[in-house]
Amino acid sequence: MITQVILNAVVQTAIYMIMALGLTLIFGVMKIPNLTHGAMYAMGAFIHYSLIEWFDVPFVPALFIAAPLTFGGGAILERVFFRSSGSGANPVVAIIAGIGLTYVLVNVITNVWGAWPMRIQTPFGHVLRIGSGAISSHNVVTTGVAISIAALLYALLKWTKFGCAIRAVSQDREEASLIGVNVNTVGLVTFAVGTMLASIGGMFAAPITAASPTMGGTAETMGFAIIILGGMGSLGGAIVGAFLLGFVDVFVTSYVSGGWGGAVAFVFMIVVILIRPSGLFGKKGRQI
Amino acid sequence: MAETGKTILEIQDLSKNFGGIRAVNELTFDVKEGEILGLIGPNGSGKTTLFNLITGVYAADSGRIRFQTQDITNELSYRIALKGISRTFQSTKVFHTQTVLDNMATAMIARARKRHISVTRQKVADVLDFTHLGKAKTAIAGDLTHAAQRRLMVAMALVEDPDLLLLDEITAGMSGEECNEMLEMAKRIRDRGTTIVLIEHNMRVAMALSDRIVVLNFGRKIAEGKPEEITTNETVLEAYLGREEA
Amino acid sequence: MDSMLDLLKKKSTYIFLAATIFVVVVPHFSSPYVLRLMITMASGIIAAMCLNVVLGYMGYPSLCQNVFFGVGAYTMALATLRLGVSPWTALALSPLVTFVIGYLAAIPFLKLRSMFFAIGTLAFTGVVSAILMNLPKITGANAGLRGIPRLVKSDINFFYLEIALILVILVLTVLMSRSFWGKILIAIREDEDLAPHFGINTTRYKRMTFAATSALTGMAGAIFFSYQTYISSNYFTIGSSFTALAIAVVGGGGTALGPIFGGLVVVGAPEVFRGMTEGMTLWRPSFVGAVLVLVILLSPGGVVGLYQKLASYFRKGGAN
Repeated sequence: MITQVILNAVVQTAIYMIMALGLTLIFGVMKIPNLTHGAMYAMGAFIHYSLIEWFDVPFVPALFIAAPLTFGGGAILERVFFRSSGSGANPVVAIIAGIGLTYVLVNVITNVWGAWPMRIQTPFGHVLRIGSGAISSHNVVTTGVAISIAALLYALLKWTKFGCAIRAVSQDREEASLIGVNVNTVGLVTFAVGTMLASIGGMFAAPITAASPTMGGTAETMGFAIIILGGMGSLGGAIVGAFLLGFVDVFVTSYVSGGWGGAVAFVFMIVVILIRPSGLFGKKGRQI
Repeated sequence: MAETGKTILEIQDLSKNFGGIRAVNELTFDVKEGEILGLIGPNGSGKTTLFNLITGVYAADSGRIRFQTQDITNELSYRIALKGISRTFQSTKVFHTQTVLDNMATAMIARARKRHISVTRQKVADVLDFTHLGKAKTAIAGDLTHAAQRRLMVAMALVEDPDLLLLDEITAGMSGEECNEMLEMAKRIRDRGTTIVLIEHNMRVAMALSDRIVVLNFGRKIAEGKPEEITTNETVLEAYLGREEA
Repeated sequence: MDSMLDLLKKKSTYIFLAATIFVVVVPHFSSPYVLRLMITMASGIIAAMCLNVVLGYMGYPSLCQNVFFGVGAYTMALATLRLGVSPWTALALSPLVTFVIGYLAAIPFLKLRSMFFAIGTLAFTGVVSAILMNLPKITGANAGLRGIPRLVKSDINFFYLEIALILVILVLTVLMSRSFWGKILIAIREDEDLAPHFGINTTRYKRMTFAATSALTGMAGAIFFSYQTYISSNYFTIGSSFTALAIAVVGGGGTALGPIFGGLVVVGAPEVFRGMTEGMTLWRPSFVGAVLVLVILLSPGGVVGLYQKLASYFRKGGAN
């Protein structure tokens, strides 16, 4: 029994990790919480679904078409709505704008695709048996994707010029712009990447948990809980946080009761915000 | 102006750490009632931290602060203000979107309700006159010149007749003439019976104004005495020169 | 003192008269659907007026308004259904209970600033929502509780009850904004670190303001769910916590009348279009969301702010 719970926790962690990585990236660079993350998670799932159902594109190629689309969507969102909040001067504006945009996006999804949860088919139907538990190959692939994304981001940040720019803007926006970094471009690309990651999360989550317009709500709040726990802007924090909360969520749901998993994440969030707002790996003394 | 010789503020072995850095390091000195005490030292020597400790913005790690024989060491900011300690800040902290009168009203709100409105009105008029802001009553604080805004900060700190006024680099960003104006004002404040501790980078102002001077470096007191004594003090010169080289 | 003639010249007199006519006459000629809409709008306006004091005057972006709406509502439901008290007693109880919860929540959460306060209160909504949903024995969870007794018999009277509460809160808000309390809240909003240096006990005022506005929101919740006679935890999810915010922001923060206009726009406007296009109900959330985004990005002062800008623009002679 416990093997199964652990296997479930691993998958849950994988999905949360993809969400959290995107969220922490955006926060690190733009210094604002992205409240459209959940809506784009859902949007990604539905765009992917449409490609499969309406255009007969197979699952995997559809991923490669949908992902850039969501990248573009994220870029548009940043450019039109979040550019002015990018310096973090007034995060409340960004929060409220994010709330409004989520309203619109979720409503669009509801009207275009319907409000009922939809089962999405995955080509990875094979079930693997590990010990006393079972895990579908889809879940294995999802986990692999999450790990790859984490590794890719790490490599990007550490070894590429653009990654350097991202780190510079995260540390000190003004200084970065003084040494010639195009802060606006960095913000745009980061936001787009983050949004794309959220969407990818949705695409992989849909076959597991069914796709519905509001599927992004829990994922987004979990994402925030994770990055607050791990430290907003910290990649390592997002990974560790995802593990912690992913496991806690699944264990609580499995052994205590169904509805309390989310509540536990919220409680974690509140406790961390009150005691150590910078999280486990965040910089201390951040002036928000 | 005769000094009564009574101590109004006692700093005793005061220490404050930030991370691994000792911003204030076992600091001990007294402030006498009615004097102007100058607090000088290189950047980062702990002067503003000391003001923050006195006014309850930071909690001390160890040591004592006594005001008029009362221990105020970890007292809440608003209570310390009500006891009669006022301050100004290095950056110009006023309510920029509000008018001068509204700023004054906010500065007085905690105490104004207990007395007649005419008393409050008089106090405001007096202090605005005193700080040469009488004509700017309805101006928005953010629209005033830099020097006028700093005078507003002083006005707000003064309006409730504090016994102790802490001025943090009040002449920052001022021209020579504005500095002189501030100098005169500070002297008049002292003459009215308010004790002043001032942090100053401008040596001319610090020497001209202070009855006594305390010099800090790395959070410790390295010298204390009359201005003439300080200018010739070896340790002080080394602290400033050493810092400049570093 | 204005003479009768002067009063007739003032624009505000006519607006006031129009509003009175609207409130007194229109409900009697409205269909049950429209009446329900007006009652819902009034509830939203009350919640927004309370949020407006915390967000607009005090500067704290609270995202947990509907927690307090719910606490008041469940007090009404549980007191009448489980304890058997009369609905009016329950109505008196609800602000008291909500005040206590509001004050207790204020203690930890008001230590946070700006973005963290917003996120913290959002998380608080999540926790409370989960509690409501997972204790079916107490709260009826999803299935809910039925048969909550009505305070007054007719829908119209419920509407008037809410109007009465709106007026009370309006008067209180105006009095507050002109008094020392208002000045303190503005000082907290403009520079919270500076205020204590003038002897202002910011902690006390923040907590009292937060708790008091929560209590009034709770009262609105009690009234609304007594009207509806049915309550379920579905009404108190994170998703539904943003209506009050939308109304408060769109109407204009820091003004007494703002939330009223906000309510008219957010709840009322989509309905006006309903007659014109079939699909309006489908697109209402998009409308609300779009208005919210437009307002916050282009005219943060909301409807009232926009009006003030336009008024001063025209006063200066237009494009000259």
